[in-house]
Amino acid sequence: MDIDELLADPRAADNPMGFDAVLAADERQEMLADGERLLDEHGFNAEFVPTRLGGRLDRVDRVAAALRALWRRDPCLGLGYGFSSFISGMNIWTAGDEEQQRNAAKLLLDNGKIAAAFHELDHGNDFAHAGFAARATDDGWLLSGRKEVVTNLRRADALVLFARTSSAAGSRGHSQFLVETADLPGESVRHLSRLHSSGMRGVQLGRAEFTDCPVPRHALLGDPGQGMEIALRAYQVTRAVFPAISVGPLDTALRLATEFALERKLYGGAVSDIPYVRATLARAYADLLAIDAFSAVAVRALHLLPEEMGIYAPAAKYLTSRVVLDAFEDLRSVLGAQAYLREGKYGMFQKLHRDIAPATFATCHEQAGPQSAWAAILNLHPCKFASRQSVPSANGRIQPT
Amino acid sequence: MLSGPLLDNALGDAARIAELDATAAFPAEQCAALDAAGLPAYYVPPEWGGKLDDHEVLLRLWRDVARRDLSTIVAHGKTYLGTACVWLAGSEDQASAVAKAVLGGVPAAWALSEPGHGADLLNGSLTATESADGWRLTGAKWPINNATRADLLTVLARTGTAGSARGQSLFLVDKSTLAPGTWQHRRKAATHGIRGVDISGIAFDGARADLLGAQGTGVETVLRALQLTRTMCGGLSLGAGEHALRLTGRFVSTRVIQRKPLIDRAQPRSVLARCAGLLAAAEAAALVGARSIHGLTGEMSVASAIVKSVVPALTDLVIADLTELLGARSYLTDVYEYGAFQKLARDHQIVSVFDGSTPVNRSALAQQFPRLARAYAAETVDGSGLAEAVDIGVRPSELDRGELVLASRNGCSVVQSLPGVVAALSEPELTAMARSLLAITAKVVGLMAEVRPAARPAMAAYELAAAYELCYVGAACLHLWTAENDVWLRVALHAVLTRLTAVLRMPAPEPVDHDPLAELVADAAMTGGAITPFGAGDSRGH
Repeated sequence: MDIDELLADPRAADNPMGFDAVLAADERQEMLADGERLLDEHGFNAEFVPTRLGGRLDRVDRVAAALRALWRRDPCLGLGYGFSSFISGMNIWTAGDEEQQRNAAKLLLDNGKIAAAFHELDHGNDFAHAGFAARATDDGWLLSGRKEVVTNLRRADALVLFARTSSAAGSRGHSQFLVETADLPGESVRHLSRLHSSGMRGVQLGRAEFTDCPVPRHALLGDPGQGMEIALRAYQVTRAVFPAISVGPLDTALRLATEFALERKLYGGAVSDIPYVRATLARAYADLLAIDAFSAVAVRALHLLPEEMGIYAPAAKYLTSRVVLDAFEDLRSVLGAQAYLREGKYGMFQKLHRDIAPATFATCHEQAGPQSAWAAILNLHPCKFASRQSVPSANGRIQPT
Repeated sequence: MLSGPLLDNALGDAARIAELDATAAFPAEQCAALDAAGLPAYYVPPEWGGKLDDHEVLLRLWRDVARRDLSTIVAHGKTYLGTACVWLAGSEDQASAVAKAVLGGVPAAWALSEPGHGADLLNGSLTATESADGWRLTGAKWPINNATRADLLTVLARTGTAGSARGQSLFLVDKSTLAPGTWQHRRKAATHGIRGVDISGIAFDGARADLLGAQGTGVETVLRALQLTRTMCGGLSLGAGEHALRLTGRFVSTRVIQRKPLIDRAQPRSVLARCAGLLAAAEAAALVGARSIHGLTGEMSVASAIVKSVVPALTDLVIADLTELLGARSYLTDVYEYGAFQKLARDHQIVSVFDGSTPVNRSALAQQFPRLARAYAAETVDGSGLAEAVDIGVRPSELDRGELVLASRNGCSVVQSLPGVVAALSEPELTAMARSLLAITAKVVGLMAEVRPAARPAMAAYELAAAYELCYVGAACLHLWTAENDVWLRVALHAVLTRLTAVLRMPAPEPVDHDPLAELVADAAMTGGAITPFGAGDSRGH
């Protein structure tokens, strides 16, 4: 599937996937409904499902390219339709048993959504002190606590939940659970009002309070106490993929700035005649090419040099997120007031700038880092966890390092 | 005199400010409260009955409002920008009438930008024609802050050849006197930040207007007025930076991760201190710039371009760094003090754009490189003027507006006095940093001397301008350094040097101890104490 062809001309006035429609949905703080419908029609979720389970995921650079095309048009679709289910899927392909994997694959291939319910506002990345807990019973588990800033929490068909299962110190106190939302008794899950954000305005950031919510024994992903380990393995992939995706919004921003510079007249000539503008555009393009190259290597290294991902993934993530934001800042100075308007021909620029803003939050902190919104929203966690870990191969199986 | 706490209280609570932003509603009750508190008097010079006798005071007042809500002061402060040309070029009758209106709470606007060519003052297409009964305007201005709310507008209009320096004139428009059908508003623009502010436009069709100053002097008057207004914009950035630092200081003081508050960890401490240092440096530059209006009036073509460029740029850096510390709370709109951080970050992005963008100001500075290089080599210093510019908190001499000239003849005394300031220092670490600043400044000025003057400067000239701005900031820190503010200005100077070496692609300076400043700032954020060396306490008493 050629995503660009599917999304069609962004400037075409009647394109339901065009810039005008994307901006209008952002203003309403809604996902672009026509976009989601179109992606459903073309079974976009198959990009997240390994081929052995009936999907199209056989190499990670393929899903990175598909997601990048989506993020180039609308990061809200990119995250709220795309990346969020991809992350949840990675945890399931990493640790789920055959039945869990088949069910999750079917759900995704049927255009369902799976939310990764990891985050709690009061604890951020401090998983070891997370408040959400699962208590073992005779025939399963009882879940209690709060999850917040979870993409698609309310509308997802299934959830991957991260919960404390032991009060013992150490890294084995948590487990992951895969549950279908239809199976959760309504009275034990109370959805709270949606959270709003300055960027990614269309993305549905949910929060919910669980009170003794029963889930069956087979909801456990992997073994008890494996929750952190599974997450870390999955992050090796999602963290390596994100830099490749972040090129998308920068690509569009650069096109907008170039279009502006060629079209607009200033001081008796075209804006593109001004040496400052020429140099700024050229540098932003060089940044884009550099990130493209670096992230391509990082993504391919997942397959070819998995034992070195503990270095590549955080390096790519840390460096590229800063470069992307700096390039946006430079391009902003070319567009001037047009970069500040939520309307008009260049209104997309400020939306992309807002959407990409959290890219640096999950950078490399030496110690237990502060709150990270990407960590919350995208589940890209700081590199304190990065070490020699095995990563899932493209067929979804773990390759020991 | 107005005080920070009084202004703080005039603005009401954070929930209401967030609500206005969410609904893109004008901060009307906030502006009315500022009117009632007497802020408009600080926009009017004393000879016409106002209190604008000290631009340091105005800078501080704007900061006091901006640290609560940047949108409100961008809206209210526009009256100062909109009337600045009147005090420079207006007749006695015009100035008296405008003063009376402003003192009575009438808002004003400054109509420069036009659809299609914002920053280009010489090529406006709104035209003024003279007829038997006076001047008539035809054409549109957009996007203009206060265009709809303002009763008074100063309008730049073409009266001669397009693109020529003397082809534009300034006009004063009083909407209440216009004939119906000769004008209409242009709708409010949807903006990324300052969402509630009246960013709209006005279109004229044969509307009456009064010539302000002589025909053909419009651009010159605007450029001279911009030397005042661009400098004052520093106060907007200082307020936004302070707001961001307080919000983040409270967060890292109270946030516990793995049983330890964030502030007790090396990385957040260091980031917080570095940001406090950058903000202190920005404050030093903005204060010296504002006082230079009185002490070094003839050098404002340099100082205003520097302050307008570097103070918002440093503040943008501070906000970006603090964003990483605050994480999700910098992004969500309905948690943590009603999403105040994401609002101030969006609001502040306009400061580097309006009233002359950063590239426009760097280009203006680059045009003055030859003279700056010569004056640096000659160590030209206006000693008494400089002494007044750095004497923070002391009432300055009266501003002689006639001394505002398009190009400084003396270069920039703040930078040119660096050798003497450095020679007077004795404390080893500070002296080492100061010497390093001096060496880099000499190098930067040497490179500036090699830049050929050009209507469209090369990219290298913009980068040298950015470096020279930082030399100014560093020099301002040294001029203002005392044993009492050492905890701030030592880190400030280090942060400036770090930035300067990065801009010039040189090795970074040796590290300095960040801990004392981190502790001071975290404490100030929690108790409401001053968070910058020349700042005010915060009446909220957090």
